[in-house]
Amino acid sequence: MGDAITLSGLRKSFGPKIAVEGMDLRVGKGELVGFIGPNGAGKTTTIRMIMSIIFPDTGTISVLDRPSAVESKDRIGYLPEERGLYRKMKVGAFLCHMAQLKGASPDGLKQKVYKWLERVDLAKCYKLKCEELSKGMQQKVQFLSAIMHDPDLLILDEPFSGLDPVNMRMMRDLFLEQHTLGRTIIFSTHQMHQAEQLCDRIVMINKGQKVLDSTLAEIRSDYDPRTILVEPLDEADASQLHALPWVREVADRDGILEIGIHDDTPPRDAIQRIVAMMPVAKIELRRPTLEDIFVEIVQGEGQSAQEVRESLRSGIAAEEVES
Amino acid sequence: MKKVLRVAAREFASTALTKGFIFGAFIVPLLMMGLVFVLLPILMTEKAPKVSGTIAIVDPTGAVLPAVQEAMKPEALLKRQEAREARVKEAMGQTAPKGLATESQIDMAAKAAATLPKTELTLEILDPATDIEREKEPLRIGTAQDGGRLALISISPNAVERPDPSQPFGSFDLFIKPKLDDRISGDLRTVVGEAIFDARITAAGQDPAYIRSLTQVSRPDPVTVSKDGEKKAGQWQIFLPFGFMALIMISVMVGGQYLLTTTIEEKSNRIVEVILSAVSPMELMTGKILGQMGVGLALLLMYGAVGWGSLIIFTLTAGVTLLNALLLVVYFILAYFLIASMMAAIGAAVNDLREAQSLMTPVMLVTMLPYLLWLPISRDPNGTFATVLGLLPPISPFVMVLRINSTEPPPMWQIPASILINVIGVYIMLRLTAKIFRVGLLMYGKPPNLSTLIKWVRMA
Repeated sequence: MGDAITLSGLRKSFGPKIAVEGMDLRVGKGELVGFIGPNGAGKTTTIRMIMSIIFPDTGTISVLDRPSAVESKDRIGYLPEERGLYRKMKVGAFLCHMAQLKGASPDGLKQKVYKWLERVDLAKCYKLKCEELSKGMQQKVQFLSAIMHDPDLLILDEPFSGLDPVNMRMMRDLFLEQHTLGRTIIFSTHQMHQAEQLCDRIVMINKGQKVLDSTLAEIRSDYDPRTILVEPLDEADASQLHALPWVREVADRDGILEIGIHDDTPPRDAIQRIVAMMPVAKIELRRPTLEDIFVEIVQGEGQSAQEVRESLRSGIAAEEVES
Repeated sequence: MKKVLRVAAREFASTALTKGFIFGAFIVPLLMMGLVFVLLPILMTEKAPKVSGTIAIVDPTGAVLPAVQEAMKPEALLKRQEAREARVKEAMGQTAPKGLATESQIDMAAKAAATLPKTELTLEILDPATDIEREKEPLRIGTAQDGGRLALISISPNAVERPDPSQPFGSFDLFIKPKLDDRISGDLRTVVGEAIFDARITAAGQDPAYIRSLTQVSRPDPVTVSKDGEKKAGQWQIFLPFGFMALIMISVMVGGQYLLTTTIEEKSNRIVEVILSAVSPMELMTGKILGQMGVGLALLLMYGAVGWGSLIIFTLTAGVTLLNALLLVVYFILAYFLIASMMAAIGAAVNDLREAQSLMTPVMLVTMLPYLLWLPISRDPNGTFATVLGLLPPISPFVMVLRINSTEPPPMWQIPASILINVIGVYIMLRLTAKIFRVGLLMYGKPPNLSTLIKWVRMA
């Protein structure tokens, strides 16, 4: 099976700002890959270059065995981060228009559009104007417009932002269904837990560069747990823990101590020692989340853990305000 | 190409098939037509009410009065009335080339003449020693429709003969009642003025009729003599080219304006990136330009048809040939592409309509120029000025339409030459604006200025 997407040595700058640099990536056919990273990391720029909406300064791109997405536009479904609708157009007409722009045959298109609208509980909206829909409904219509022409490759930029939990679940099911149909999917998100739930493979991007590219299983085995959560039975003295040579950091989160241990200390030993030191109500070895891994990778590049976490959270917070 | 047509079809449908457009483009012209063909004839046939009353006159010279009395006799009044009607008829008839006046035109002229006020005036001669201020009192009561004294004419004592030859002659004062028909007061001024004129000539020992004949020279209408023959230049001929130019200007501007707003709309509601994933920026721009060209063309044909209809009614079609009409469409397309490509680029470059205003200045200038140049070009359609402008895009199409429809069409070679130059102009303009369009579409934030646009052209 060939690659759906191959990027090599991509670089793109906007004036003095380098948005993406040294980007190499291969996405196999049928893969589900998540692009993660904080806001402004270069995810959208990379996606726009894959889509040939903007062009790289240097580097080469191959999409669906063609040198440019321009030549395979009709086989790609794209949901950009900045997405809109023709507000005055009727929902059905809009979906038909978009599908036809993507080369879908007009035969039976209306019925197909109607069926899809039925699936996402929007059958009644066929003749409504797009502007009459709520934001969540509009988002479902936008998603449908990306898949209406049965593309081989789906590129979705922040597909779940601003959805309520019910619609989020519906969209996720549709999304996974596309994956089971064998379609290659790339989606970007700054919400790492979504990527964790959905993806086979994770590509982490920070400051325009790829900092991680592995399957979820590989990531889990590479980054063994290094954080122990402790709920002390009584009021605990955290300073006592700080003094220990094998403890890297201690954070108190509402009475639960997050103890980071040094790489050379096996977690098993650490747990035994903690239990020996103080009476505990609960002790647990926490698997690293993608966020933790991201923080760990990025930390080495001069950013403090706190800064990285804040930049991630600010993205999430911004989105919550938006939704 | 299929995608371009698809974009164009949507563009056309979303603009031309909306209630607002149909109202603006169909209902307004219908109302205008209603005005011309229904309301105007009604207004024309409405007869002015009969005016009756007295005209008081004070003549201290005693030399003016007999002539005024003569002029105010019923026969003389009737004669003047007829002369006036004849003038109106002639004026109406003149709009058409001689000998082409139709039944309807003559009929309309007669109707127009009938709206002149019928008068029944009697002259009231006042004592030269009377107090003018007291005699004005009757004028203050009511209006001209109530009858009574309608006007007071007071002749100056030195109107006919002056004691000191170094001083100018005196004249007369005319006091009138409110709402007196201006045609009656104008008539009175003429009658008294001529009476004083005659009295002065008589006083100088000459025969007024003889002197009058000496001073009258009739002014002929100019006749244009060319190798195609001779024709009388009617006044309407200067307006016809203007009408044609305005027609393409309106169609171009409406199409261009819609293009600007739909582009801004697509950009501001962020649909554009989705669209760009399906079509290239060039396809999008071409489709949009073609779609709005359909809108402009629809307007051109419709307004053109209305205009043609009016020309037929007023039998003014003589100066319009099929070739002219065809060239009108050709020049419309060229002018449209020049303006529309600029509009598309501006629409793509800005974030909202307000920001577009500052960039619109050059476009507005281009569209204002032909209006300003209309008179100089019409006066000398084949002068160096007009010839150069006729070959200079982007105003060339408008200038050429003015020239082609003028009384002196340009030499034949200039038409293909201007078309060729404009085609080249369109090509260059499209190349430049397509670059701005491509870069601008995905640029949000600070609105660009001219230097930014130039940078984009270089960048793309």
